[in-house]
Formats: sequence, C-alpha cells, structure tokens
Amino acid sequence: MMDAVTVALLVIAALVFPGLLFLFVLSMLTEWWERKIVARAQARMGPSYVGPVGVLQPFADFIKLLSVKEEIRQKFATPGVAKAFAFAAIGALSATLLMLPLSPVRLAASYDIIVLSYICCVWVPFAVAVMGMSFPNPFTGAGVSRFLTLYAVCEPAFFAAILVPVALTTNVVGTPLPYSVLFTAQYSWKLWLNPATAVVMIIALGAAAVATQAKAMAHPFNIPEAEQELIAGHMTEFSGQILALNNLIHDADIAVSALLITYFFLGGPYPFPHLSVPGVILMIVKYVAVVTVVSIIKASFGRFRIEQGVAVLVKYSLIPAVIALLAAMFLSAYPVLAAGA
Amino acid sequence: MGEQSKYLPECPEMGEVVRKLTEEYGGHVIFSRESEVYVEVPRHELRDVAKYLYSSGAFLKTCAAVDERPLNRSFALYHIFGMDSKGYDVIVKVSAPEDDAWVPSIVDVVPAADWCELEARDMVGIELKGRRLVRRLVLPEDWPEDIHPLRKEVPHDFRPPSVKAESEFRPPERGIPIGPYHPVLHEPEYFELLVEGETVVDVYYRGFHVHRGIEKLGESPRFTYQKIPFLAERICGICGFVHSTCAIMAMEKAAGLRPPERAEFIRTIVLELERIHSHLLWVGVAAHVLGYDAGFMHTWRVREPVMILSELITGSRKTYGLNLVGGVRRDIDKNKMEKIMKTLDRVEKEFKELANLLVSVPQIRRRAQGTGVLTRSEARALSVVGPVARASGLYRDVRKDYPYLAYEEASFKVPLYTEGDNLARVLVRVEEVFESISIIRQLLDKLPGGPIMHEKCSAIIPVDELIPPGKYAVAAIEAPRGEDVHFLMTGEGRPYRWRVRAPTYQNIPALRPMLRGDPLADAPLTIASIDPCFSCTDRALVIDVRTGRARTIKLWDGGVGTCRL
Repeated sequence: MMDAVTVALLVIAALVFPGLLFLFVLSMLTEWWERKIVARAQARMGPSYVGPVGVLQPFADFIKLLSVKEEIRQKFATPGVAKAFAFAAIGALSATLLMLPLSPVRLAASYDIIVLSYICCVWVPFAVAVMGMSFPNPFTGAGVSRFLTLYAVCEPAFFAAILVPVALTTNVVGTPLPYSVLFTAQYSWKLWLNPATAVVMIIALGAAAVATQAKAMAHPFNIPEAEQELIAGHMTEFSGQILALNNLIHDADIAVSALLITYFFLGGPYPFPHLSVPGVILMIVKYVAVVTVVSIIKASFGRFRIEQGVAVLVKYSLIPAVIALLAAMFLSAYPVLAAGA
Repeated sequence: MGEQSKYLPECPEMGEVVRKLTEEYGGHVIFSRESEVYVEVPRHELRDVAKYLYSSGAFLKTCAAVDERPLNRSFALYHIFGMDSKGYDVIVKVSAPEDDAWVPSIVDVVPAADWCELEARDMVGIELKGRRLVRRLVLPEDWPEDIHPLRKEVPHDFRPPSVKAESEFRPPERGIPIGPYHPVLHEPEYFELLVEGETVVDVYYRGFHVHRGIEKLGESPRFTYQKIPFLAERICGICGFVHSTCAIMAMEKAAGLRPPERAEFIRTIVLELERIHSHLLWVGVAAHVLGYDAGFMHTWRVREPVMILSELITGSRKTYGLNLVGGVRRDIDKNKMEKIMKTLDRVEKEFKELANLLVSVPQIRRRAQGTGVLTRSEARALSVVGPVARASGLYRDVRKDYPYLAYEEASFKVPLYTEGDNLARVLVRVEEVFESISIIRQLLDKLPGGPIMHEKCSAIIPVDELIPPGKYAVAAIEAPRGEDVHFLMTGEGRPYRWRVRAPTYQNIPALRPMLRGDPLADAPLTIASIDPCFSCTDRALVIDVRTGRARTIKLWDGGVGTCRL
C-alpha cells in the first residue's frame, strides 16, 4: 500500500512534472522550434511576434483555438467521442513520461516495455483515428484510411527498434529488472561503449528515426493530411477545441518519441546525473538535435504517395528494425560474444 | 476567284486549300489577308471540309458563333483552322438562317471542337445537328432556356431571373471533391474524383463560376477600340498582357496599320517577361502540390525580382496598362535596360540552381514521372496547345509557326519532349524560362530606335475611324500556357463580335486521358500540370474517365444529360 506522500507525489508527477503540464510546455516549445527550423529552410521567418523570437506563438495558437474559436459541428459529427479520445491520447502520452528517469516518482516493473508500447503505440494512433472518424466526410474517410495504413507499418517498426536497446541492456549490460523502460533509459548509454552492441544500436537508431518521421506525419510522410489532395485528411473537420487538442496530441507525440530516442538511443543525460548542469545541457542538446533532424528532413522533402511511403517505411525502418532486433536477440542469447568484442 | 489571286503567289499551298474548298465543296472566299483566308461553305459540306482540313495537318484553334441577323438575317459559325506547319489560318464560315438555326456538329471528326460548339449553342443559340451529347457548357443551370447572351437583342447588362432552384443541380457527392474552393485551386471550379481505393476512376468537372461576360462587354457601347486592351488585360490575372496584345494585334490587322518597330520589340520583351514570371509561379505551385513547400517558397523568392522588373517597365507590378492600338505607352531607356540585364542575370543564376535541385528531388521525380500521361495522338486529336502539347511531342509554338511582333529577330529553341507525363511538362516549362531570358537579352541588344507610337494613334486620339466596320481578323499569341486566339469582326466604333479563346480552354479536355487510372495522390499534380487558368477559361464540363469497371454517370438530373466525352 502506498502512503499519502507517495500518492501526493504521484499526483504531482502525473499532473505537473513530468506529466501533463510539463508535456504541454515541452510540446509547445518543440512545435515552436520545428516551425522556426522549417521556416528558416524555406527562407521565411516563422513565428516572430508573440514572446521573444515568437516562442510563445504555439501557446497563443492553442489558447486561441481553445477559448476563442468556434467549434463547428456538422450533421453527423460526434464531438463528445472525439474529445473523450483526445483526452485518452493526451493521458496516455503523459503517463509514458512517468516511466522515464525524468520523473521524480519512477515507475518501473519487469517487462513494462509492453505497457509503454501499448499506451504509446496503440492508444495514440487509435485515438487519433477515432477522432477523425467522429466527423465523417470524404476527406476524413480517405485521411483515416491513409493514416491507419501508415501507422500499421511505422508503429511496429518503432516498437521493434526501441526493443533493441531494451533487450541489449537487459541481457548484455544487465539491469535490476528485465525489459524495463526505466533501467533501459538509465543503462543504454553503455551499449555504445561496446563495438558489437554499438553496430546493432546504429541500425536500430536509423530505423527509429525513419519511423519517428512517419509518426510525426512530417514530410515526406505527411500523406494522411495531404493538403493538396485531402485538404487536411483526417483533421479536415476539426475546429476550435478539438483542433487544439488534436494539435497538442500531434506535438506531444513528437515530443515523447524524441524523448524516447534521446533516452533509449542517445543515452539521455548520462553519465551525468539529471540534476547537474552538464546533465541538463546534454539532455537538452540531444533532444533539440532529434527535433532538428526531424524538422530539416521535413523541410527538404516533398510528399510520397501512400504506396511509396509504405515501401520506404518497410525498406528503411521495419526491415532494419527487425534485423537489429534479431541481432540483439542473438547477442542476448550469447552475451559472451558481446563481452569478447 | 479574283480575291484568291491576291495571295496565290505568296503562299501557293494556301491557294491549293482554297481551290479545294471552293471547287470541291462549293465554298466561296469572303475575305483574305496575307496569312488568313475566310471561306464560306454550305452547311451540309461542313463535316467533309472539317475532315479534309483536320486530316491535312490543320489544328482547330476554336470556333466563334456570331449573331449576324442585323446584317443578313442569319447566324454564323466560324471554325478557325490553323495550318501550323504552313503558317496560315483557314477560317471556315457556315451560315444558318434565323428561322432554321442549326449547323452540323463536327465533334466526331474534330474532337477539339467539342467545347466551342457547345459554347456557340449556349451563347448564340445555334443548334448542333448530329451531335450525340448536347449539354450546357457555359451558362449556369438556372439560366432561362430561351435567352442567349451573345444575341444582339440581349443588353450587355441584362440579368435574367433564376428559373430553377440551385439545389436541383447538386452533383452526386460520391467521390473526393476538389473545389470550388480548395488549397490546390487558386480559382473557383469544381472537380469530383471518384476513386476505387487510391485510383481515380471517374472525374466530374464543373467550371465557369467566374464568367464575367467580357466578350459581350467588349461589344457594348461602354467600350471603344482604344479601351478594349484594358478590358482584355482583365481576362487573366497572370498573363493579361497576352490578351491585350492579342486583341490589339487583331485590331491593328483590321486597321491595316503596323506599330513602330520599337513598340513591337517592347511588346515582345514584356510578353517574354510575362512567360518567365508565369512559369516561375507555376513551378512553385507544382512543388507545393507535391508537398515540397521549400521548393515553392524558394521559387517564388526567385520570381520576385521579375515582378519588380514588370513594375519598372510597365509602371505596375503586373504587366498591365502598357498597350495601346498603334504602340505602347512607355519606353525602355538605357537605365532600365541595365537594370533588366542585371536582374535577368540574377534570376537565371538562381533559377538554374533551384531547377537542378527541384528536378533531382526524388519525391518530385518519382511522382511526376509516368503520371498524367497524354499521348501524342490524344494531344493531336484535341488540338492541345502550349507546354502541354510540347511535352507530348507536338511541335507547336505560335512564335515559330506564325511569327509575330519581333520574334523573328531572336533565335531560340522550342523545348520538345515526347514522354507526355507530368515530368515532361515540368521540364518544358523550366527550359522555356531560360529561352525567354535569352530572347529578352537578344531583343534588348537589337532594340531599334524611333517612336513607340504609330503617328496616327495616341492615347487620346480615338482610333475608331482607323478601323473600318465589316473587317475580320484572327490574331494568335504564344501565351505562357499556350496559344491564345482572338477573333475580331469589326463594327461601328467597336467590335461587332470579339471572341477570345484562352489556352486553358483547349487544354482542359485533355485532363480526361491524363487522369485515367492515375493514383489519387497525383491527380492534383496532373490537374495543375496543364497550368489551368480558370478566369481565362470559364468553362463547365463533365469528364468521364473510365476504366474497365466503368459506370454510366448521370450528373445533375434534369438539366444536363449523361455525359461522356
């Protein structure tokens, strides 16, 4: 049984740091950075007016959509369902952060990577698809169908890729609990010190990066929301609060994916502790680097057709991820190989 | 036959065609000029004449219906055939008495006549005999049946009451709608793509939302010959100078006056400047349609200095307000020449880098290659024009086929591709930008001295007495989107009939074969690849693109029949 202090801490962690509030602020800042980078690549200025260098623009957009803009409902819409699923997705993404070493209350259990993939890789896309279908229309129909097609490939690829450091940390480095998110994040940096595991990690990192691009629905994978074909795809009918929530889910999904890559592949703040100056700087640099790469790729590509997008995902994400996972399983079965190398 | 002998020595082949039309088909020459001949044929011979001309290498430029009842109690339809390879036009006239107003349809022998025939029916009320599918093209569905706006008794400001409720004509809404307002379309029109999975099976198209009755307005007492160029410029928001120049060329032909050489050079320079900014605009839009927004932003950045040049030369950011009958209003001096040269150097350098990058981006290549294919034979049958024709292996360019203004003074290449896909259309336009830059440089080098206005004309002298009534003229210009044709029949102080055929009018029917079986994702690119300009075109049409599993399509029950092109 948990005592009162633990419960209070858990509530604070879930609602303030690193939960809802932190995720919200991080998502908005991530959006701002992405918009700035993309604008720079396109010879534009990007957000400039709200706050210093426009840093508060995403907050202003969110508040405007939430409190000022009208929510337009069409005849067949069920906005209640859309909102319920939007909250579920935001909740799922916030809960993910409690499993990372970032949190003061660290939740860890054996094999909790399955919980992470369930709430992160299943709930979020499912919620977004349901939100789209809550406003039936030819564009949302086509958009959701493309969205599900894309996610059917990119989520397994992403999950397979992050399973690589999890398996390797458990079996090669050795962790107190097997297949745990928390301990993977804490010890995965050691995998880069070992040439055998480092090679596998590079392959998995590449696969995860491509999958993240698709999860973010950034170019060249912005196929579901293809403006020129489907207006805004699954988001066509969103307006007001639902659009605000949808944008938040989109940004939060990028933020969480970038955090997972930062911890699982890039080693987070380690070997420095979280609450040290170099640790914080290292963490921020790595996170910003991941978001910058996503933004630069976004700015330098056109859009794939759906079948081209799926083919590229299979070729550069799913297959390398599976190969890396098989190699990781092999190294796990014979850790002596890794130790010898 | 006496009139025939006037041009026979100059163009023997033209004499051959005229001899055939007069001797075998019972026609007679009503008017002729150096590169135009007007032959009236009996209406029962029209189909044979059309078949003969189309099979002997002519393209159909358009047809123009005229209400000639005040003159001779009949309606007339002028089919303008262009002998591109020979450089002259044969205009075939058929008359229909007012109490028996029909002409035979030639759409089965000349597919390119589809739209202009329907327009003649809508606007002048000439019935089409032998045509399987007759539907409204230009007029809205709620327009009264018996009112034809281009008949002389209809006032130019007439507004009929709506006779049917709008809602009756809603399209079926079974597919993916594109328009009337859509991120890809910068003007209002409506496409509906019927898809099976991600493949386009059928396409509905409904345009004509922005018809402004400009042809009617040009015949109205509000306009005189010297004001019409300013009205003509308003036909298009991008290539307005093309329309004013083309209208003026027709009027100058009718008046028999030639503007000073310097004015012709300046007009040519502005026409090419317009082509550069129009193509740059399009390349940006094409990148945007492919989701490559960085390409879009950078192309428009490169384009901006060209717009500033337009302002330098014409006095307005767009290339407007420069043209008058008999010359141009503003000169190009030494200072301007230097600035033009400098800007062109910069645009050429920057666009070269950008174009190399654009066509090597794998997403663009992969999506543009092999999509939206228009074969050469389809392009020929539909008489498509401009970059669309040149990308499908048709060597058609008014600047070469019917040299006008100062084009004979410049040497330039006409880019030609045979693939007929979206990539070919991109490449044709990219190459044309560099050719246009080279043309402007050559013309600036050779710019002759002298006045910029004909001695008999000025902005304040009415030119009405210079242009006698009862004359005909056809003028054509290679606009950025292709051949632009103006047909003029002069009246008292203003045109009796002024017919404008913008390039997009000729190219939209080609979307049917282009879109057939293509992926949905590429449909917007294919639509954009003809560089559609809807304010120029203002047309309505149903395209039925069928695959093996085709369906019969009923559109707007009651008003328009089942349509299949």
